[in-house]
Amino acid sequence: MLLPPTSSSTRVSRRRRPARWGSDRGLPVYVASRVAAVVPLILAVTFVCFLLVHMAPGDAWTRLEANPDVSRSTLEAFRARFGLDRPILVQYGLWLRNVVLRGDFGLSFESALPAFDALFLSGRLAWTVLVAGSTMLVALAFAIPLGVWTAARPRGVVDRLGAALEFVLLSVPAFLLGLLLLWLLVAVRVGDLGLGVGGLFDPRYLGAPWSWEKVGNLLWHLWPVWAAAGAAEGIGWARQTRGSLQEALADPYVVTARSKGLAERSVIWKHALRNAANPLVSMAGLSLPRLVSGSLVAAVVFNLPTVERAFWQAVQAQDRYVVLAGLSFFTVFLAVGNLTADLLLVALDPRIRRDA
Amino acid sequence: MTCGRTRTVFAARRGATVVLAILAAACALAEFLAPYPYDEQRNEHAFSPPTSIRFHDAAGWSARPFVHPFRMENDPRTYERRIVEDQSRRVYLRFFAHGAPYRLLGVFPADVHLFELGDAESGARVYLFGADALGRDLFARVLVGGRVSLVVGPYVLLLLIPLAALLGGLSGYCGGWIDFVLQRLGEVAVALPGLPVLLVVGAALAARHASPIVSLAAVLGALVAIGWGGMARVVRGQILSIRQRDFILAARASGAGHARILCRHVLPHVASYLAVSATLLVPGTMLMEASLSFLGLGVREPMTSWGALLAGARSLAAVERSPWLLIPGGFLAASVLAFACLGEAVREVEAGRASGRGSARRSRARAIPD
Repeated sequence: MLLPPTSSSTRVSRRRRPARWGSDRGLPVYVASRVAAVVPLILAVTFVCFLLVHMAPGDAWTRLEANPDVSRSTLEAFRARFGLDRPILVQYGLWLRNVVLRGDFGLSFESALPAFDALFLSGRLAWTVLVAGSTMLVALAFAIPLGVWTAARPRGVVDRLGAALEFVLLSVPAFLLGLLLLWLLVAVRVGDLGLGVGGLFDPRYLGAPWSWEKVGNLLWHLWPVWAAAGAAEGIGWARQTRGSLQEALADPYVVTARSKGLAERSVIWKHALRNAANPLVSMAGLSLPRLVSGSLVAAVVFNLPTVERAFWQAVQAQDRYVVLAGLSFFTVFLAVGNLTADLLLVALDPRIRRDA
Repeated sequence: MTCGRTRTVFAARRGATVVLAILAAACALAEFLAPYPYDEQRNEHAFSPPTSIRFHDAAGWSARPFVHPFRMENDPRTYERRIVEDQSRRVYLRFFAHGAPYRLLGVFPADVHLFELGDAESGARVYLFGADALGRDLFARVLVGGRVSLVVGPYVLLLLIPLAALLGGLSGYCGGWIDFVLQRLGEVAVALPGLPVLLVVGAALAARHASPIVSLAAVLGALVAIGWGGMARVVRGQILSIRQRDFILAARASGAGHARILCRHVLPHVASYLAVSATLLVPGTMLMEASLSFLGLGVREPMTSWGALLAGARSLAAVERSPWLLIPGGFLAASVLAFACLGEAVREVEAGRASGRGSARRSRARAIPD
C-alpha cells in the first residue's frame, strides 16, 4: 500500500523466490505451513481492526442508545448479544465466536440488517467480483502483449511511449483519472450511447431483463472503471513483463532455440515468456492492495453498487460491525491473494519445487 | 543505461527540482499571491467560473488588464447557474494593492497582495481559477492546499525512515526474541488493508473533533504505523548479511561497542537502500493523502489540500457544471510526477554506485546543483 508509485521499486527480480523454508521438509509441508500461517495472521489483523473501529466515540451504536424511540429491552438485548458493556477483549471474543460458529458478523445499527447482508447482499458482492475481476483481466490482457511487444523491440517508439506512460500513470491517482474520464465523457457526449458513468447501467436498463443491449450498456459503463482502477496496474505489469522477458531473452537457451531454427514467435511465447512469468506472479500479489484502493475510489467516483461503496458509506456512518465486516473482507482478500501468488510461484517454477 | 539515458534522467531531475521549488514558493507566499483569504466565503459567487482577464472590449484596447464586473444568477426556467457580465464597465486590476491583512510566512504582518481589483465597493472580484460551492477563491485554496499536499510526503518520510531503520536494524542485529516479535508485528502491519484502515482512523478522528491539522498528522502517523513493515524487512535482511562480514568481526575484536558498530559500520551499508526508498516513498504518500482527503476523511474543512479540493468535483453534476474544480488535479499530478522524477534520479545514482560503474555518472550528479 505504501509502495511508491514508481514501479521500479516494486519490480521484482527474476530470481525472486517465495519465503525460504527448511530444505529438509517436503513441498506438502511447505504448502500446509503457509496455509496454516494465514489463519493467525488474519486473526491478529482483525483484532487490530476491532480496536481501531472502537476508537471512535459517537458511532451508530451511541446514536441508537440516545434515540428515545428505541426501547430499553432492545438495547439490553444488543448489549447482551455483543457484550457492549463488557471489556473490549470480551467483545472481540464474542464477535469472533459469532463469526466463526454462525457466520454472524453482527448487526448494522443503521439499517437493522445483519452486517453481512448490509455489506454483501443485494448483488454487491457479485458486482465487486465482476468489477474487480474484469479490471484485473483487462489489465493483464493489455499488459502481457504490450510487454512482449516492447521486449522484442526495445528502444522502439512503443517502448519509449510505454516508459513515459508508466511514469505519468503511476503519478496520477486513480480518482483523478476517474474524474478526468468523467469530464471527458461529459464534454464529448458520444452519440446516443448515454454518458456511461454513474452506476453500472443507464436507467432504462436497470429493471430490464438481460439482453445483448444490456450487456453492451454494462461494458460501456465498465470501461471508465477499468481505465481508472486498472491503468496503473496494467502499465506496471507491462513494464515488468518487458523487463523480465528481456532478461530471459539474454539467456543461453534462447540462443539455442534460435540456432535450431525455431520461429521467433515460438522462442518468445514458448521458451522465454514461461521463464519470465514468475516475477509477474509476485508482482500481481504485491499490487493487490493498490487494486483494493483503486476499486474503492472508482466505486465512489462512478457510483458503483459494490461492496467498496457500501464500506465507504458505513465508515461515514460509523456503523461499527459493517465497517468491521468490510475490513475483514479486505484483509482476507489480500491474505488469500498473496498466498495464492506464492503458491502459484511454487507451482510454476520447477526449480523451487526441486529445492523443496 | 547509456549516457544519453542518464542525461535525460538528470535533465528531468533539474526540471522536477525547478517545478517543485516554484510550487513550494508559491504555496509559502499564498496570502501574498492570492487576492483573497482562502476561507472567505461569498455565497453570491458560488460556482463562479474563472474570471476572464481582458485587454480588449467593445470600447477598444487597454494597456492595463481589466475585468467586467459580474454576478451569478440562476436561470429562471432551468435553474442553471450562470454568469452575467456587465460589459459596459471596466474594473482595472491593480498590482501590489492593499487588501485583506495577513501574516506573511506566518510572521510578518502585511496587507499587500500581488493583484486585486480596483474598486472594492462594487463587489467585483477576480477569481483566477473560479470559485467553489461556497464562493471561495479556488486560486487561494489551491495555493494553501498545496502546503498540506507538499508537506505530507517529507513528513511521513521523516517519521517512517528512522522507524523502519530502527526496527529493522534491531530485528536484524539483535536476533532472538526481539527479532521474532518485530517480524510478526511487521507481518501484521503489512497485512492490514491500507486505505480502508486509514479511512476508519480518519473517521474516528473526525468524530473526536480533533483539529484538522492534528487529525491529518494522526492519520499520517497511522500511515507510518502500518507502512514500516515492508521496509523494515528489507533492512533486516541487509543487516543479517552485513553482520556476517569480516569487518564487523574486526571492529568487535578491536573493542568497538554495539552503538559504534551500528552507526559507523552497519548503517552506511543500509543508507543507500534507505535513500532510494525515501525518495520513492514521497509520491506514494502524496497519492495516499490525496485519496484519503478526496474520500472526505483526510484533511478537513476549512483547511484543505489538493485531494480535498477535488472532492468538490466528486459528482457528475459538478464536473459538468464547473469543470474548473478539476484544476487542483493538475497541481497534484505535476508535483507527484516531479517527486517521482527525483526518486528515479536518486535510484539511478545509487544503482550506478552499487554496480561500481557509476563514477562518471556520479561526478555528473555532483556537478548539478541541487
